[in-house]
Amino acid sequence: MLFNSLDFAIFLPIVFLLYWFVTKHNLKLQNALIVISSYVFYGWWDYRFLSLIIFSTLVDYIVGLQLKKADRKPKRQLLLWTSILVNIGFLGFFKYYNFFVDNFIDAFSFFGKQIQPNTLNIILPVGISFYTFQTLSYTIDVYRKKLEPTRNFMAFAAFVSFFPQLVAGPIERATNLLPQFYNKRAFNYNKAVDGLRQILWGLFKKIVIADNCAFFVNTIFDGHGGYSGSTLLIGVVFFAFQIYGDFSGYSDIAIGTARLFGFDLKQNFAFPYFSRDIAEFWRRWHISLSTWFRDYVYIPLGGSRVSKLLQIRNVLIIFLVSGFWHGANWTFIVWGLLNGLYFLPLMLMKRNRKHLEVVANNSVLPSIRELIAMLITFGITVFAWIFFRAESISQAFSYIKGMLEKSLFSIPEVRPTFLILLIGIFIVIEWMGRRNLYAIEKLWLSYPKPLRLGIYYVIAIVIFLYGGKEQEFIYFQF
Amino acid sequence: MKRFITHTVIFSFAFFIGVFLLILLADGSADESYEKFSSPKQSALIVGSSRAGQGLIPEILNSTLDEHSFYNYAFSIRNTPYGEPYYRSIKKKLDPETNNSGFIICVTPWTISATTEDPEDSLNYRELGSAIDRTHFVSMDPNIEYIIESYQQKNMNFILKKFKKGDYQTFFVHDDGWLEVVIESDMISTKERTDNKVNSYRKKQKNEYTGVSQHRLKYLERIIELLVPKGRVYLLRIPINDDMYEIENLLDPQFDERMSAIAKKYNIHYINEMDTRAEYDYTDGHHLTIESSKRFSKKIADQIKAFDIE
Repeated sequence: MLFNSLDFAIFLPIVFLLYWFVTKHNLKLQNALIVISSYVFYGWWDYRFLSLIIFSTLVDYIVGLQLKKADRKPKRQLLLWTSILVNIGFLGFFKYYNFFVDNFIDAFSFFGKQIQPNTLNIILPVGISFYTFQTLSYTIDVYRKKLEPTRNFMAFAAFVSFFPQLVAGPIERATNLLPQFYNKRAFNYNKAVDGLRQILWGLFKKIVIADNCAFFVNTIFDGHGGYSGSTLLIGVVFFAFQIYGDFSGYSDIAIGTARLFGFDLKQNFAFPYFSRDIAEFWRRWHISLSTWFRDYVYIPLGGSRVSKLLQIRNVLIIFLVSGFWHGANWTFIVWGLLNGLYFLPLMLMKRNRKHLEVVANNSVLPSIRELIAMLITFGITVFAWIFFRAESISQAFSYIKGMLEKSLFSIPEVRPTFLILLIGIFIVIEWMGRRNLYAIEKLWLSYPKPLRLGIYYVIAIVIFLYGGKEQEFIYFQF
Repeated sequence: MKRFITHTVIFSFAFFIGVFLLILLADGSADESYEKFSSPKQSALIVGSSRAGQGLIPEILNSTLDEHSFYNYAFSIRNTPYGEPYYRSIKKKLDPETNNSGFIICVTPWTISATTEDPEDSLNYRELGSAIDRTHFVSMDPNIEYIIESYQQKNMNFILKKFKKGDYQTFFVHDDGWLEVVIESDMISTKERTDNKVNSYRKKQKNEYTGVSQHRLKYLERIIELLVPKGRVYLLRIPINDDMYEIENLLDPQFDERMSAIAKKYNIHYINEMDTRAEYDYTDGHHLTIESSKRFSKKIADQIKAFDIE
């Protein structure tokens, strides 16, 4: 079920009313309702793949309980690896099987050997990269004794399948989300209103910004050979806004929806395009994934407390793995590598934690220096996005070659003035709200209520006018 | 909680009022289907694909045939090949009180052929999931269901397009369901469009279409069976240019025999106007120009009148 669909617009109020009116006095019932609703939400897309979620839930639940009983390290390790193999096994099979087979074929044919193994017509289950990482975090934290394993199966099943963040994150840690299922949730008016506000802003980002950019991005990338350098530049800048609007919009809707049910999810995007260097960008972009890799891959590898050479290895590993997580294509790997290469100089010069505060925290506008730093960071990020968006490495290089021709300084053939104006307004609103969890969290709270509601009303109507054809979220494919 | 629900309901209500008022602005310029799904139930229908949608003008038919009030309920080849969805839609659009009326069923080899590997594989027909299949309320004004569920463009387009009505490369569905397409009519544009259209249909015939479907023929007959008790039914083959005709003959060489047999079975007329194709002009080899549509509609009206007198 898509957040931007009529189905979800009907589904959400029904679940909300059942949750707060029918099951509110019974925690077990409330959790059971969440599990059932989540399975309906997921099954709406393809009920057959519910079996994967249920199996993953059962395995990690049992592994968690067994870890509590097991004292001996080998047994604990065996249990941990059981969970890792099951979860990564699902992910590997559904997401990467054909990629590896194709690359083996290519490698063998490079050495003059022809092999013909079977590739399979595999459907990638929506959200598999998200919920497998979420359940893995539970097992790893239990293994590390940072978290008590749960005996409450319904709470655990609800934690794994919680529908607001099931298919595209944020990837929640068991330490943050699971305990919330143990306690009775009390309805909080302000929290619920805040949730609705965040949903509204998420829909705006997705439908008005991302989907509008998508039209031009698809046109320009698909026919990139026939466009001037300046148009290709516009194409990739639009993609930067498309992917931001799409993914952070989804996260906003997910977090807002969770708030309606009394849950607090972690912030997933913190205005990444206002970053002054790439290290800051990665602290602000897809935070739940970056921190997952930091805690479960980077730190166990030694993090930054090892020799320079190993530090470089560790950084490149997490960026490459992060790229590969996004999809079984060399384009994502190159995208990850590029970001790793951007990051390395900062780390080696120990400047990767230079910008921890929000830009221009005490002023309205950024300084010239900050502005230049933001533009440079945005520029190199946009360059890397070319690989992320391209269908293949050769298309990415062809795109870059076309973009860097003399025609880069010509007037672009594609000039969607209205969309550029919309993006301009969007940037201003995001800038004004950059100190908050999402742009409009506190933006107009000081205004008289009728005016504030009027602004929300206009946003809702604009969303309707720009809506129409439902567009899938990009991150569903990951 | 009460406060939250009250406020949410009030805000949602105000939002829906706003959306409703905006949808009121939608009309025949929104797309090829909106007007047809927002007009009242009808008693005399023209059914078929875009060839009929553009080629038969109810206003002209009705001016000759005083006793009928034809409505053009033809869509496009994507939406309305003969099958379950179109049958259901016609049934809903038809005024149940209808009797002694008239119906024109436009037929082409495309509307009785399939694109599925097995032509009888009706569970995978291309019109499933299309607007004709998804729209349950075919006579709702304003048609909120259609705009929310099936409108394939940004909603703001149904407002913006109102201001472009009559511009080149625009279309407008009139109150009688006729789809008027405004398009460049100079020789170069027409030749280019015709070449493109012929090439695309040649590819469709070779690569997409798998042959005549008995399932589709069955539904064509079901539509005839639905309409025959309510008035006189005419099967009509609208002319196209020579190249397109050649492609259609490749798709179904026995098409005219098939239609004649069906007409005979139900004791209705099959009007095959393909032999008069040189008398008309086409925007793209497949659709009549506005001028030709007017002449063609008048000719069909005269023929029907003659049949009615018989």
